[in-house]
Amino acid sequence: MKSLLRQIIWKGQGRRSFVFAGIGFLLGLSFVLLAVQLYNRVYADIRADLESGELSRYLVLHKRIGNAQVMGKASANFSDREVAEFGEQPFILDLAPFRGNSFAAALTMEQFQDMQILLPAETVDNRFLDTIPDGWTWKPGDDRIPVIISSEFLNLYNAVLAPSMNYPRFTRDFIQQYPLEIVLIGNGKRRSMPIRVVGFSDRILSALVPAEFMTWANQEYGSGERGEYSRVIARVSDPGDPALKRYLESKDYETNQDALKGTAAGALQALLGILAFLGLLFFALATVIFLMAFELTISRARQEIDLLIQLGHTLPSLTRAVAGTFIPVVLGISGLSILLLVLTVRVLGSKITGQGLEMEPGIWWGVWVSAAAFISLIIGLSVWRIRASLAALAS
Amino acid sequence: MQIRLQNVLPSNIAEGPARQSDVWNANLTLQPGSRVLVNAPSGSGKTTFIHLLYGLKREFSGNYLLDNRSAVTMGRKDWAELRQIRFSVVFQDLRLFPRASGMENIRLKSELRPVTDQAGIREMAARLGMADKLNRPVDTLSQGERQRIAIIRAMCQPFDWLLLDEPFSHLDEANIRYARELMLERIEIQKAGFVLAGLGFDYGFATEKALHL
Repeated sequence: MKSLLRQIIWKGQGRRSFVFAGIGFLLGLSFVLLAVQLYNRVYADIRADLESGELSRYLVLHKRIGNAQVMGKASANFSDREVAEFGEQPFILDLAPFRGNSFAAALTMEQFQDMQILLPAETVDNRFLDTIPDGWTWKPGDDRIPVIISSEFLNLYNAVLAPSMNYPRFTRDFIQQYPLEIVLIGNGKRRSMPIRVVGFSDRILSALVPAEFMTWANQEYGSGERGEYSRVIARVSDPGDPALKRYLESKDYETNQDALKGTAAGALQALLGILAFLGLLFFALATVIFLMAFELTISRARQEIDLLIQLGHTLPSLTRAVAGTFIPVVLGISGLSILLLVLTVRVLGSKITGQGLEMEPGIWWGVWVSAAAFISLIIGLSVWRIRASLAALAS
Repeated sequence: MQIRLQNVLPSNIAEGPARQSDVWNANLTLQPGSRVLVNAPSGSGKTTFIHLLYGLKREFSGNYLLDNRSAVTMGRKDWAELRQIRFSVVFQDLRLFPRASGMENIRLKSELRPVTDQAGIREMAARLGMADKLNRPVDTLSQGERQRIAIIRAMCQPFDWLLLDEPFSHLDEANIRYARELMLERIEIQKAGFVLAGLGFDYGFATEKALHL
């Protein structure tokens, strides 16, 4: 009887709308399920790593120099209060100011007496150093001052300064053995002190000296501690965090813009967002097309349905006849969608592993729940629409 | 199932000129198993009466009661059940699915509440001379052949009342006789009554009651 009813109602009906809606449903469900799977298996892991600080990055920040700073109407330095407020932001894992020199300092070499390179010396809390090298201590009375120089500074020296000024080039090992001196000038005094390069930093572009030396030298050759700082260093969970960008913008703080470019997590979040949006869009369109196609089918079969009702057929049996083939088709498309998901996840899994990332194998249970929810939704809405259209016809 | 009409007057009849009638604006009771002939000229409301009894005509004044229950208050589900087991009908305009075969038309009714199988259907068709035409699409059959398909369809379900709206209008005498014999046999088996709407003669049905519209 079911097939007979289907034959009566569906005979001569166009199937094109249903084919389009079916393709839309396949794409929509596949995209949404892939987004759910990747969110759980990849993005959530990256987010967790970000939040735990495992993927944190260091940013060195300063205030933007504008007309107000140039004209002295606004400070170009961070105050203690600004440092404290910055440190309390949720995207900041740790933050400390750099203390700079309030005296003039230059780098010299014994054999090259005419060589004097201005040395931007700073000090920062040891927890922000890449590694704490041996001999990283100094106390008044010590002859030799340990210094950590920026790897970039050494590169710049070797590539630009040394050839242009006829100075010797240094390897990392060599410069650590070479007798260098720092000339301290200030408060009417001038003194040369031997320094030893004890390490290199990829993180900080200035020359770092121990805090004790900076305190002593600022008192001896400078104007003492200034209570404000030209730069701060921050450890952030996610440099691509839009909240961080907004905060820096609002405060006129600057850093290397490359450092703020989207991270893998940000890119993945955007990708998953687009994927989920497209999936939901396709799903919504497919649902609307299905509902309209059913309405049209019922409208075209109006005379047949009317006669079936006159013969004693009930709305539930007619609903089953109209929706009867639809439910197996939806389940078939859903099965195909899940098969596509499994294959995609397998291919992505090998690609991601090749990139040094990890992706747990298997389909997350949330994907099954989502699939069940979407399938139920499209079947439920369709059956409801079919019943309503038939009831309208019957009345 | 008892049928009672109390001062029933369909909207389309009320609009016409008032006249004396055994049905309209009257109290009429049809007891179970009654054999009723409805006599009236064309256009006087026979089809309206059959449709009213079958629940297709809902616009009327007065009360229509089935076993003392108002038919007006019955919903779609109730009427579906009534049409499955209480009322069977041969429409004047037949109301067949033109692109379906005769057998499919009959099965669409008979399989709701089966009283016979496909072999039984073929046997009835053979009695009406339709055995070799059951599988042909209805729209390829003559009007008389279609009428016989509609009659077989009405016989293939349980019923208390058989409603016949000019059921033999396209049949010759021999086929009328075969159809009448089949109908009376099924009526006997089901202990049912019938209402035959015709043009003044009962086609040998030996009716007990004649109503004038």
